[in-house]
Amino acid sequence: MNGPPPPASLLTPSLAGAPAHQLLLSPRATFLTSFFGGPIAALILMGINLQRLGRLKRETAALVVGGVLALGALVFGWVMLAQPELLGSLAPEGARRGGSWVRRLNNLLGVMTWGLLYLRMRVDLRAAELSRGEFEKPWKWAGIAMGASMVLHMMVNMAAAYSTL
Amino acid sequence: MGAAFELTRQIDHLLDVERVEEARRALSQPLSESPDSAELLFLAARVETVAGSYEEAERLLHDVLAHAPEHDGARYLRSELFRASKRYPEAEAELLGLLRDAPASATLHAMYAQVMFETLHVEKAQALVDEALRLDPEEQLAKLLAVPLAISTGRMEVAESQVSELMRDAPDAEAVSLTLITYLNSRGRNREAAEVARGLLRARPNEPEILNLLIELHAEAHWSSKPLAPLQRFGFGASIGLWIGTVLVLQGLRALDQPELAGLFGLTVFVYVIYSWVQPPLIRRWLRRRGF
Repeated sequence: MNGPPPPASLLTPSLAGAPAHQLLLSPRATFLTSFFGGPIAALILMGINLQRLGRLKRETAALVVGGVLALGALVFGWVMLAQPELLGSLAPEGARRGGSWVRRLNNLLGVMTWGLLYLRMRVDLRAAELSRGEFEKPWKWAGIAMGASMVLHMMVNMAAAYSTL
Repeated sequence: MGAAFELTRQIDHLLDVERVEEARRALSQPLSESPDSAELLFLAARVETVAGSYEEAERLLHDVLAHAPEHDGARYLRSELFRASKRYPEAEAELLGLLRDAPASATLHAMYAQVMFETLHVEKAQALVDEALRLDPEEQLAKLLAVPLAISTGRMEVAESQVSELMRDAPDAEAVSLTLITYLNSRGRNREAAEVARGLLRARPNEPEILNLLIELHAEAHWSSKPLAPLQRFGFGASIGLWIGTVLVLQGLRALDQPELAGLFGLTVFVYVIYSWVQPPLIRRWLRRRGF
C-alpha cells in the first residue's frame, strides 16, 4: 500500500436509502422549454433535475432567485396589460397590442432562469452525457411545465382584463 | 486441481473470443458432476455475464456465495452485475463490503468511482479515482475514468494528457479506444473518432454497440451533416444561440419595418431547424442500410 489509508468519508455510502436513480432532463430540452415557456417552465424543469440530483435544499438560493424572476414575469405581464401607465415612459409603445413585449420578456426571463440553474448543475449534466449518454424523454415534463406556465399567464391576463373593466 | 485449472483456462479463452455456447458446453459436464462446486458455479456465472444473461448470472452468483460467502471473485462480479443493471445502491453496498476487507485495493476504489460517476456524484468519483491512482498509479479503470471526469469538469488538458498516457500504455485495448473516441468526439473531431471506431469494429466485428457508435460518428462526419456542423460542435449551446439570435433578428427586422425579410428569415430558420431534426435519423438509417 502507498501512503496513508484513504479518508473514511470516501467509503461512506452515498446511495443507501436514496430514491432510485432517475435520468435527468437534457440541457437542450430544458433550454427550449424554458425559452418558450418562460421562467415558470424553467423553474419546474430545472427543479426536477435538482430534485433528481438530491440538491433541492442546497440550491435554495438559486431557486428563490428563479422564483423571483418567475414572479417578475407574471407581475410585468399584469402591469403591461392592466396598468402600463405605471411604467411611465418605460412602457413600450404598442404594449397593449398582442402583448409581444410580455412574450419577449418571458423568453428573456426564461433563458435567465434556465442559465442560472444550468450553471449550478453544468458538471452533472455533462457527466450524465459522458457516463451513460442517456436523458429522460422530455415530452411529459415539458408539456406539464408549458401547461403550468400558460395557465398562470392566462390567469394573470384574465385578472388584468377584469381589473380594466 | 490440475483439471480445474485447465478448465478455468479453457473458459477464460472461450470468453475472450466470445464463444459463449462452447463455454456453456464445456461447463455442462463438470457442473452436472459437481453441482455444488463454488468455482464451477462462478465460472458459469461469468459465462452468463458475457452472454448478457444477467438474471441467470446473478442466480448462479447467489449459489456461489451460499457455498462460499467470502468468494471475492463472486462479490466483484455481483457488484458489476448490479452496476450494469443500474441497481446502484446494491452495487455500492457490495463494493463497500469488499473495500472493508481490502481497503488498499486500487481496483475496488476505481470500481466504486465508476458507480459514483454513473450516479452523478462527480466530486466523490473524482476523489475515488485520485485515491485509486495514489494506491496504484497504473490502475487501468481509474485512468480510463479520469478522462470523462476531466471532460465533464472542463479540464481538457488533463483529459488530453490522460488519453495520451492510455494510448502509450495500451493503444489496442478496447476500453482505451472507447475513451479516445469519447475524447475526440468531445473536441468535435468526428472523423478521427470514426477512424478509431472503425479499427475497433475490425477487432470486434460482432459488437452491435460498436457498430452503432461507428454509424453515429459516420453520420456526424457525412457531407450532408455539414450544415449542422455548428450544432454538432457546440451542442445545445448552438441551439441556444440559434433561438436567441432568431428572436433578436426577427424583432430587429420588424422594428425596421421589413416584414418580407423577416418572413424569409423566419422561413429559412424554420427549414434549418426541421433539417436538423430530420437529417440525423435519416442518414443513420441510410448508412445502416448501405454500409460505409
